[in-house]
Amino acid sequence: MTERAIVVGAGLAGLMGALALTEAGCRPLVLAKGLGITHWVGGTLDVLGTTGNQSLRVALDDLIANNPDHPYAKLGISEIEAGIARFRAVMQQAHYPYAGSLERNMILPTALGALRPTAYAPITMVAGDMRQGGELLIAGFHELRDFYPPLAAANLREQGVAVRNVYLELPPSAKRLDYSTRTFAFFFDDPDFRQAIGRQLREVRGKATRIGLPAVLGLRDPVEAVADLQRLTGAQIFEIPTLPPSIPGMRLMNIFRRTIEAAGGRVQIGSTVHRAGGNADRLTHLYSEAAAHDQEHRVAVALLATGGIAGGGIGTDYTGRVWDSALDLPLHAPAGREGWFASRFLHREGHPIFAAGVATDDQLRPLDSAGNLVYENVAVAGMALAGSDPVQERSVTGLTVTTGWHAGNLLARAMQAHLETSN
Amino acid sequence: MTYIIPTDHIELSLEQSLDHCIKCNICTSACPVSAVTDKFPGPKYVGPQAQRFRQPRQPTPDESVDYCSGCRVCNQVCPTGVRIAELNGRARAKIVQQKGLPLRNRILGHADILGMLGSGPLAPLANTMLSLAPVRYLTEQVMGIARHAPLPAFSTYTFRSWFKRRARKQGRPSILSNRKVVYFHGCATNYYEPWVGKAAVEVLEHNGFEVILAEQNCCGLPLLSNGAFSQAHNYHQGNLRKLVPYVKQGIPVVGTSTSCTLTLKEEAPELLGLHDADVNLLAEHTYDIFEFLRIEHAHGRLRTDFKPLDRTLPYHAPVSCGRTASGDLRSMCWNWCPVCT
Ligand code: SF4
Ligand code: SF4
Repeated sequence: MTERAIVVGAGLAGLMGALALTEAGCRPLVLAKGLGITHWVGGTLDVLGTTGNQSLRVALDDLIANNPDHPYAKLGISEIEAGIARFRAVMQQAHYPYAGSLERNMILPTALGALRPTAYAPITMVAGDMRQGGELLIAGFHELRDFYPPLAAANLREQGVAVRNVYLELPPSAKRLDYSTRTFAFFFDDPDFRQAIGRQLREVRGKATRIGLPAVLGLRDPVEAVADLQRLTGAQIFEIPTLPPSIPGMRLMNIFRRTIEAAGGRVQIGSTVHRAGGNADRLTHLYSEAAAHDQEHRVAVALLATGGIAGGGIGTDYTGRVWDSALDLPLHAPAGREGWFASRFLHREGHPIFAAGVATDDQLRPLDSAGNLVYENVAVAGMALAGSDPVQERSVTGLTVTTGWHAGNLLARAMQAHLETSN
Repeated sequence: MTYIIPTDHIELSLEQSLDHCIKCNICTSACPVSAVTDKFPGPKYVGPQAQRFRQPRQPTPDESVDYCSGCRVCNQVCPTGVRIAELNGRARAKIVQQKGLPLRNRILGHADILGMLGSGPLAPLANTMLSLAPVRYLTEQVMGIARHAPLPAFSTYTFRSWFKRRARKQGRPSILSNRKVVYFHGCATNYYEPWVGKAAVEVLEHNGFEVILAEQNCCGLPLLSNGAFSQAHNYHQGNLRKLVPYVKQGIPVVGTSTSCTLTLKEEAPELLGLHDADVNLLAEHTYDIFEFLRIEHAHGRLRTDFKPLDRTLPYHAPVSCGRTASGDLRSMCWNWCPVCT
């Protein structure tokens, strides 16, 4: 059996890692338990949740200088920028460009009407940036659960935003028994549906210069959908991320999957890696769960990108045990359950357990508690890394994308070196 | 006879898996059935959600679970490992237990009997009959099989008859080898597409295996999918009787229909709650042909004297591949083929 580059996890870290490996000609196999983070996140690239006038780049410099164990510190600012640039280039190529910068965060509204800082967003969302003025209209559908224009508008008004809200009527042809975000994305893929909605919006628009809609404006060509609606309404249109399943996240998954598979990689969902085998310092085998017998994979290099506690890659139980469910790598985590949680649920500093992860050297290779290298041919990326609490820092997507890209490139080099010596 | 679903570790894990559901609806957004019909609200609703209301001595909360095709795409994409398809399968069996099996499912569930009736020299007649508008109208009215749904065509000969004829002609199996496999052809290959079996025999023999045509039943999947668990149980018992003796001699069972092999490996044992030694033995020694060849390749035993075939072929990966340790055909070739992606 051929030795392969194996990526464990199909979140943004795994997909970016797989992309790097693909582009280096390593033809990676991505194994994942299920679809995950892409379908949960809003699809923006959150690098760090700074607000106000501080430049993001300066904030990152500070963070790197003060936290040498932080994953960003292991990358350095130029690698962070390289990862973001590659991500944006891939999206651009897929006609789904991202706008933004490392200067100031945009401030985008959530479905609850909260304000959320982000560095880069799909251009279908950027007109929602609250640093611009003008009256807003938030529109939705009774049929789309979990998106309540009145609630979003009320919360925004409380924060001083001039905003109205409206519910739109579905055209009779779109009547169903039940609706999901995907149902609506299918609707918006149809230009006739967009016509019908655009006309309604024009009528209720009033003085609003910008109109926010749930982020369901199609899976096929959302940029075109936004352009259509802008033409029809004369207002700027922006998408507001919804509860899962996230359509912007699905777009990302589709784009990544297409790009990786077109260049010779494979994405295999529904394959939980649950066992590993290796010798002194190399990982040699991974086993993914299948009916009656495991699927065996021979490993040239492997990327662990299983998403930490939130992503399910790190397991915990009531006895206080914390473990890596795929490779069983040693973890860096608070000892004992008493150390897991902060005193309050919504504590400013977050809960210590969510920073649990694999400690690595500066090439993102796993270390044990004594600081010794566990496997020289394994790298760790994303939420599985120790040294940060990305949820609390508001850096989840930025950190996963950039560490994934960096780790994938390091592994590609390691794989080429390995193949040369073994030939 | 009614089949009582056992209170086994599978039932327990199904019960526990309810708590793993985080209501993200990823399953619903991937389900091929809820994408095309409104009558099926999707895996999350009929699975982990409705399951909360399925209690002993309570009426079933939602019969739309019957629309679940059992394709297991939901299981594959669920990020938290909820076993939705199994929940649905057992829920449907409980409905069948209470209300009996509708005529259509009773007929379509028996792929073997249908095949036996329709295939053979009279197949052209059967195929013509089944293409006549009035006949289709009647089958729609009486059995609820949509008039325009394409039906597979019966073959004029069965795979088994071909295999036996060939052996008779040669006077012995075409190769004698100490490396033997039992070929599980399933109903589709036997009655509808015998050429699939012929190709499989050729590939296996080319790789030095003696192919044994063991007695076998339908794997029982059509009955399992229709909730007719007691009859599916009989089929599985039959297959155990007929196949386990080979396995005990160290001869593996290899099949070309991924859903048949998956049924022997996992679906029947798990849905029916069968966990004894013979069941496990058969499960562990049954292989999808891609999986089998992939393992041969891993051990350096597969003959890779492939010849280029200058044709573009459509390939639709069977859904059950996702649970098989081979992945689909593309994944299998991908493991060594430098050009094909
Ligand atoms: S994908 Fe899994 S966790 Fe998400 S709603 Fe479906 S069953 Fe629940
Ligand atoms: S098994 Fe297939 S048809 Fe049934 S709920 Fe799951 S995805 Fe839908």
